[in-house]
Amino acid sequence: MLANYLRSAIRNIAKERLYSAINIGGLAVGLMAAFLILLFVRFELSYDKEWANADRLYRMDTSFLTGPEPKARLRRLSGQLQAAMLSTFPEEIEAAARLRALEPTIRDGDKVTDELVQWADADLLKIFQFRVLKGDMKAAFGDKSSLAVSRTFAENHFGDADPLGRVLNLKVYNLDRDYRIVAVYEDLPRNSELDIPAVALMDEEAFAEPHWLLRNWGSTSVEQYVLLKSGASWSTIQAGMPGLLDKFVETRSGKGSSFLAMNGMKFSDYHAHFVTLDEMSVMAKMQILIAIAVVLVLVGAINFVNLATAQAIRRTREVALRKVLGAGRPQLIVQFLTESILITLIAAMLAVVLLEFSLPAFAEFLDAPLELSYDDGVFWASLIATVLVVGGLAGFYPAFAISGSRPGRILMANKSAESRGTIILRQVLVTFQFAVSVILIVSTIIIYGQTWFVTNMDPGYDRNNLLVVQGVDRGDMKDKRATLRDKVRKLSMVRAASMSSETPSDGNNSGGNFGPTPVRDEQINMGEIWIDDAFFDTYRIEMAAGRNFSGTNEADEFQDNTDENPVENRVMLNAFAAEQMGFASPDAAIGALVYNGTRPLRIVGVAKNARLQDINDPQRAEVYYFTRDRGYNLTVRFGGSPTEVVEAVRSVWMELAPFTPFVFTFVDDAVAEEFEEEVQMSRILTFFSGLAVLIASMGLYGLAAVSAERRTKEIGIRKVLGARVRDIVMMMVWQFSRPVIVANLIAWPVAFFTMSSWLEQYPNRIDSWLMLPACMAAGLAAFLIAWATVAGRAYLVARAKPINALRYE
Amino acid sequence: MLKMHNLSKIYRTDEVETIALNNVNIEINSGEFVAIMGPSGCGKSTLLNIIGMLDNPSEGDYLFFDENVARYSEAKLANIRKRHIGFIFQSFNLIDELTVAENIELALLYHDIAASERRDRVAAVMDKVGIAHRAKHMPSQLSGGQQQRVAVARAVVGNQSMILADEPTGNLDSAHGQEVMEMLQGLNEEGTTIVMVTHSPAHADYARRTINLFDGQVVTENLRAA
Repeated sequence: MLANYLRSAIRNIAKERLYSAINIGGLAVGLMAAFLILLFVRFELSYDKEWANADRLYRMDTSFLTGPEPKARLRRLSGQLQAAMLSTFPEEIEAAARLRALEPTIRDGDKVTDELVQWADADLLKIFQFRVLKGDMKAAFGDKSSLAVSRTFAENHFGDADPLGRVLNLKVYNLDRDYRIVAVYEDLPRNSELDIPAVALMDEEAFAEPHWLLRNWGSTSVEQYVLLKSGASWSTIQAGMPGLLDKFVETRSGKGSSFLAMNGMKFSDYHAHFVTLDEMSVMAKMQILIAIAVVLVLVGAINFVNLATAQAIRRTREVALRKVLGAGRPQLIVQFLTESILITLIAAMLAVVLLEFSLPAFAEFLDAPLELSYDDGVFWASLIATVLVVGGLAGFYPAFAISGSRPGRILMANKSAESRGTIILRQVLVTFQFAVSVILIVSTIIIYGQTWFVTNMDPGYDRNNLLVVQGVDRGDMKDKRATLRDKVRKLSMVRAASMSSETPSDGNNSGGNFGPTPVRDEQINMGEIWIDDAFFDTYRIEMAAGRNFSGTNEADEFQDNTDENPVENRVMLNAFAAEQMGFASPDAAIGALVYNGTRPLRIVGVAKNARLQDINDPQRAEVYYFTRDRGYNLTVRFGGSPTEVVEAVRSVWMELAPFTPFVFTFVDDAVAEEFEEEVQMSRILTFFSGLAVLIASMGLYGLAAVSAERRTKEIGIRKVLGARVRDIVMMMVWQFSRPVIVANLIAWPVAFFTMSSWLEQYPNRIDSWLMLPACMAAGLAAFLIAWATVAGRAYLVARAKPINALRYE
Repeated sequence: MLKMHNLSKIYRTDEVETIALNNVNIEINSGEFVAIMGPSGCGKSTLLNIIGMLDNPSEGDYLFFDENVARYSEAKLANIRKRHIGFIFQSFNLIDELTVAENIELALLYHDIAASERRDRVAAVMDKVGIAHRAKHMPSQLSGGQQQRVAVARAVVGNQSMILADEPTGNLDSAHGQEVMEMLQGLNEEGTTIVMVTHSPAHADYARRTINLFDGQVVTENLRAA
């Protein structure tokens, strides 16, 4: 019996080539996309689940509670927290380790590089399991001049040679030491938040200064990991945290817990769930992708249902004959389900083949090591489940609709056997397909638009032709940075150059508490930037009131001071800071006295607002201090070719500090990089919405073909009565335009609300009304696709001589 | 009105060549009622299709009002067709999804006629063929005779000067068949040219002239005594 069903199914698939191709092709593309998403989601959700004590392993984060900004959670925190926690919770904590990431200048003979190295506490080995390839991992934590390196690090430095015993000189801040390599470990898995190319024992003395490296409670210095004792409860620690902060954090006024908060999160949840502010978590993104996967499979399955029901008339004769020969309805249902599951199975196999071919490209595109392993039970189980569910769902309605017909009626009558319900169902499903397509297209347009808007909006300074030489305070350059700036200024293509403590989109956000009085409660958190007198000229930021710092006026220069020994320093503000401090206008602020804590500051000038922070952040209030040579970065305003400028500046650098690597970026590139994630997301969305549209239009083409076939007689009659080809094409196009119109009516509000809430996360965002043209563009695209698809098919039918349609009845 | 000179129609497939019409010479004048008779497969319907410009002849000339339309494109033929010719088929060829009135209106739809005028003309012609009370019904709700009356109404609503009927009574019982024949006769008396293919000698008797076809050739033409 099953053999008969299969034979009948296979013959049917072979006979109806166009429809089978559309069914199988559409489903295969949908399933391929779904499998791809499944692999990606599994990878993203597999982060840090494999550590031996994952159920007791926590990572800490911190929030600063000062200022008007919402509380952002930060990934790194003070190097002081660990000692405080160990002494406060000795009963709960089994092990704790900090990771201090730095980019030391590494010298190996003549070879000089800047690379990421972690300094960690010895308990790191109790918390994380390293696969040691050579040497002794414990020895790396035995003294302060041993280094363990990853396989890749070893290969990069020593190729095939044995790295054990080799010596590298590491230089960063006050640390300048030869390290001997004592162990090589396998690279950490890609699905880990840990990034440890090389690791050495934490060095409290060497990192005592600068203060913020480890010792400042208000800095974001280290990654903090805590392993609980088994049976201990994290809630005990979480509950004790405010008390701990009150006890250990030194403040000028108030309590530690009123300006700091420390939280822990299971490390196995960290990658999926941690968010700094209210941006989308990895988990939320995965949920969106899973929704898209389901939708893509649905869109493919809808083609199947639509074509199956539309073709049903042709099948009804076969059904009627089988019934006459004694088949019961259950047998017919089983037969049709067999056929749909068979088609889905073929589609699934094709999807796996497609996936195999395209996976390397996707892996690169999604930046994840995706691979299809055929011994993966989860993959096969989900594949089989998908085939059964999709095949069953797709075959269910056609099976019941066709098998329910009365044989006599079909064999006798030459009338259309289509029920009104079937036609409506098909309309609803096509509408759904197009609604989904339109929503995806609108989302894609909006994400692109937002990315374009923010990367192109006026940031208040001239973003083009700005080169940033990073880390002029490193190594040998530290004492020569003023010379570097002066020499760079003399280069012919350089218009201006300025040293400052922060540059746009560099991720640095120093801040302090400022206010019109020395009273702590009246002060708010503002940004602090140390600049030289060329800063505003270099960035082309205009003055709002007062004057710029003067390079010839020594009284403008910042002098170190303390709360005990306050000195009046001169400062500039940006317009927003002046407003926040309560001045009615920038002019009103000139000459006024304000305070950083208890230290007095005299305002000499107010600059116009510029977004010198990350472009995604809200406008920040900023206080500028004048210092001739304390900047960390050198910003160069140039004319002419960027590559020539880089080469010219590089040669000046190499002349001054040949053993300190030259690192640079362009401001417009750095700003664009902030949007990497959005760009990535919009590319993913573009790709999948393209697929959805493709599958939907394939289905529409099939439907147009079935409909044209079904209406052959009608078209013939109309032509006999004088209809032109154009009339027929118009009629068919209109027939298929109706579901697209309804789809737009449904899609627009859905897209509008979804994308409005997506845009909310950006302080600088495009106007909501811009979604209207986006909706219209997407709607128009849907129409054009539908029209092109249907018109092509309709033209073929309409062109035929009417007699061909009417001769055979 | 129309004149055919040495007209042939040959169907070619990969292997077989079928001569459906062979050197046919016919002349039909305005106001005539002509019946075409002959056994199955003799080329009656092919001839009717060529007269109705639903198909092109393979060879020969076809003059319609002195215009040789034998080589005209489908678009040009469609234009002449819709102005001059109405069709009635054996199987009625009504569109199942449209009501009686809509089916009739279809013949005016492609003729640039205002909606109100279309309505009036459809109403008038429905009265004439006696199906006004069925205007809102679907074809499937009508008897065969009623369906054919709708088809007749559709064929004449555009004031076509010629009606081509392909076995209009073939699917009808004798009573309904006669009804349709009387209707055609009435139209002919009002001046409409009628060309009808039929198997029934009785129905052929309604025509003034009978053309007998055999194997694609005109064998005899009989004039009925007036």
